[in-house]
Amino acid sequence: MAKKGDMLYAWTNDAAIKEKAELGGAVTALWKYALESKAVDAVLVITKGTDLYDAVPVLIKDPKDLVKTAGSLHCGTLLLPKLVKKYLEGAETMKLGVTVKGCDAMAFYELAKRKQINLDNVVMIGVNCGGSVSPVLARKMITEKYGVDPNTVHKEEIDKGQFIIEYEGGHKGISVDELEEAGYGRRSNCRRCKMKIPRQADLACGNWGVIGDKAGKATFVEVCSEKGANLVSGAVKNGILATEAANPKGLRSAGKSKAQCSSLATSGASTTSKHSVKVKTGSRRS
Amino acid sequence: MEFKYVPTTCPYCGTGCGFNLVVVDKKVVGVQPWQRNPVNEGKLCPKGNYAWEFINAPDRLTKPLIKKDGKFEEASWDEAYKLIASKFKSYKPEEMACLASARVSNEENYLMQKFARAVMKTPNIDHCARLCHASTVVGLAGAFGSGAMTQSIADIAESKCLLVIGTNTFEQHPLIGRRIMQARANGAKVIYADPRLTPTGKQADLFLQFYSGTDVALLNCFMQQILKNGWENKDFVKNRTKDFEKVKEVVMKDTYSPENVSKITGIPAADIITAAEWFGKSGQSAVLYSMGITQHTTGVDNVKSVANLQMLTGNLGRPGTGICALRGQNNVQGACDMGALANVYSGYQSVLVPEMKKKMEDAWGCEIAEGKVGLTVTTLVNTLADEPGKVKCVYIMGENPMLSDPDLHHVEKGLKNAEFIVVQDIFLTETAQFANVVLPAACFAEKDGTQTSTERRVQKWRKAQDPPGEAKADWQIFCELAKVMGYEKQFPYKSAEDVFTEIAKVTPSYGGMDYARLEKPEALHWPCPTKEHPGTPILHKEKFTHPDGLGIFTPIEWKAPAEVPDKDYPLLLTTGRCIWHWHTGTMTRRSVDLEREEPTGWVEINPEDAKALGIKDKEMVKASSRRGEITIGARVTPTIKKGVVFMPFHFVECAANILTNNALDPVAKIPEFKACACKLEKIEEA
Repeated sequence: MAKKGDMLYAWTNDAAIKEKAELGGAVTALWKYALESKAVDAVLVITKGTDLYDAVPVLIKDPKDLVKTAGSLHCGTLLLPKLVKKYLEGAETMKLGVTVKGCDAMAFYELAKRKQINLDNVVMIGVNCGGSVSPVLARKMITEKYGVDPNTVHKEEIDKGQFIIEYEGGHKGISVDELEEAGYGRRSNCRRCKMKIPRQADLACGNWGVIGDKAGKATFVEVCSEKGANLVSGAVKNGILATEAANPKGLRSAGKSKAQCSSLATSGASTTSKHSVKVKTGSRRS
Repeated sequence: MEFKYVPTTCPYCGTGCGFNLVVVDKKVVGVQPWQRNPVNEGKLCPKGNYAWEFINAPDRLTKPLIKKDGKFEEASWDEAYKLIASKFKSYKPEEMACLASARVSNEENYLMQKFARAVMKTPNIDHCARLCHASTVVGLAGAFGSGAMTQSIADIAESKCLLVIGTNTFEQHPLIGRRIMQARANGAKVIYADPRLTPTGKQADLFLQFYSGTDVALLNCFMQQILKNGWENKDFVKNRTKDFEKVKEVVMKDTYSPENVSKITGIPAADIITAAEWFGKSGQSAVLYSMGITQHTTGVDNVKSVANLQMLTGNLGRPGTGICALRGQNNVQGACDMGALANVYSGYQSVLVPEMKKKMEDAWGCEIAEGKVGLTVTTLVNTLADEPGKVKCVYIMGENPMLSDPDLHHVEKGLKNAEFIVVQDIFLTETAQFANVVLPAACFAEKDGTQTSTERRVQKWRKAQDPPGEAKADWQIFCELAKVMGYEKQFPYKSAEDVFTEIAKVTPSYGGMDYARLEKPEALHWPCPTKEHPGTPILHKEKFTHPDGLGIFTPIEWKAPAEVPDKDYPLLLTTGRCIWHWHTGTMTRRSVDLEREEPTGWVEINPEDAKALGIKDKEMVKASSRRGEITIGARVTPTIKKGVVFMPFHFVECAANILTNNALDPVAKIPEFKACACKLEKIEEA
């Protein structure tokens, strides 16, 4: 049984999710379990719109539809709580699961304080975020700084202080520091955001600290609430999710990474270029 | 609960911003940013932000209406079509006219001009571009061979000097205003010329407050200064233009010295010299203009003067240069492109060229209207009002001349003279009240289609919900009516995409476009003649569109407006829009949030003029011209030039166009909305 404060590696046993998702597909698996077990009525997550740069929110009720939301998108900052408040009746009439970044988590609490969202009906899975890049600027940056047709890019991420793209024919990375000094890079609000790790959520997930044979195959999960603990325990019991305690060496590595990640907010891009910050920026897909 | 985003294009101004319509349980309930859209990158102005609020307004038209004994009665589509078809068949072609719409899609404008020319056999097809940028189409086509904005919107941010003249960009095209600020942040100088210190002017480096209608004098003076100081681009003038000497002869006259032009315009001579220097020396200067330039009896002259200035300085064909003629309505560019004009088929193919007429007849498979220039919006209204019986039947789609046209009493007289009027619209507009038959149409959120923005970018609309009641998309209405009229073969379309496929076949500048290519947020800028062509964000890079590839200078002398202040009407009235409302208010005044911000009209007056007339701020006053009078609240403000008054034209209860002058530009037939004589009077209590 998971409990608040646990640090876990988690991965899915669901073959379809595993094939499509990143880092073991834990988040997608958790939402699938939440829907199937009626812990939530619907899940509000992000899916790909026109292309990789176009993040679109979707309300998923059928667990079978979740797989299309697996993977990461880094160009959208859509402030999902605003949508919950404006269009989903503030979660008053349904139990809602939402994948959140730090900005989303903060907005959930601010709107709840104003009694515009009922947090009792919301389950939040937080994902670490070092900042997002606006889609039009991202495409311009990839064209001008990387010399790559942005339409050929199938994956992008910030890792080890670099903005890295994978495209038809290879991959390229340029330091965030260099990009931002040239007028590209993350949104200005993201550069000053201090909420890189959303621990106000029920679970805080990321890719730091996963070492050994689980590296790249599991998600680091920090259990932040009883609600989060129940979700993990249920999913494990159901068999869709597997977990193990995080490797102590990995925890030390994670601690360092978390500190570095948080420092992105105050010391800006230069920090990212000097240290190995393993952080998935802006990922909000399940 | 079903929740989804539908990305589409804003239905208001010509910027072409993208946004997501939020659909909950099959109804549009909101607008959210579409960050992926390259035009506005997720930013929106107030109108865009609230563009969903009118869609499900309770008074949307939901059934066809037929007027019987002076009252509208609901009817079936069959009844309406049969009545319309029988009436249309009873008139001669020249007795009928059609007004298309800058509000509806390219596909629907194309079909209306096809319906007019192929089914009604009338050459009388036009639309409200006649009221806003007809002078741009004529003026720029004369100078460059193509009558459209030369640049992309994003280019504006790369300019080193912007002359913003006759456009309150921050309120009328706010997301283009954003590009002005980006240019300024990059170090560009911004020169703003207008009778009013608008929000746009407040951000400028130099404000030239001038009398409405003195544009040519100012532009000629700029050119004189540039020539005197050797700031012209001699290579460009030599290699890419002709007839420069004719212009030089005019602009070098003493009439256009800074001192004389200062007297004409009311701008200090030193400021004119400074502006000319900034503009002439930057090496990368652009002009942004809108209806402050075009809506004059000298509209074509004004536009050609702008073209002269840009050819003289070689500011064409490169990023950050060019002429940004900011089109007012979402699809006014497209409606022109589609041939909803009295003189051209789609792609500006002249009706006077027999080969073009034959091309259309071959494509459409029937005889079409005589190859002659038809009545324009303005000449149509004049004909209706002044020559009763000459035009008897008018078919109007998505236009509201009873509020948008000048001299509304004159318009009313004209509409009353018509025997049979069909109006196809989303609301029962002021114009629809005069109709014999009203057909309920779908709005932008209820159908697929395309629209073409001011930067010639052809973008998609995507259907987000069903139309209310029995309302139908305009393209469907044309197909069904054509079938009743015996032209089913000519209107076989099953979708808007089918129509677009035909457009691409007969319109060279759209020839390489299809719905699949337009699906990307970048869409395509015309000209895009082949499937492999990437589109053309910047025109005239190597040569102009004239057969010899040269730009043509035209010497222009300044002429005063048709009506100038005198002792009876001592003030100069100019009109325009505000940020919260759109044209005749049909959509924005049904938007709760927008209407709350600006619930009625006003007249701006300089404190000195107000003091002389004993008028206080917010006092209701009588405003009158030789054409009529209205009662309206005064806004006493130092931001307007002494001797000039301004009114927005959105508000039926104090309609500025009751006062405006129907004097027309002799070539483009655009009315002089921007300058007429008027007076303000206190309303004495009884």
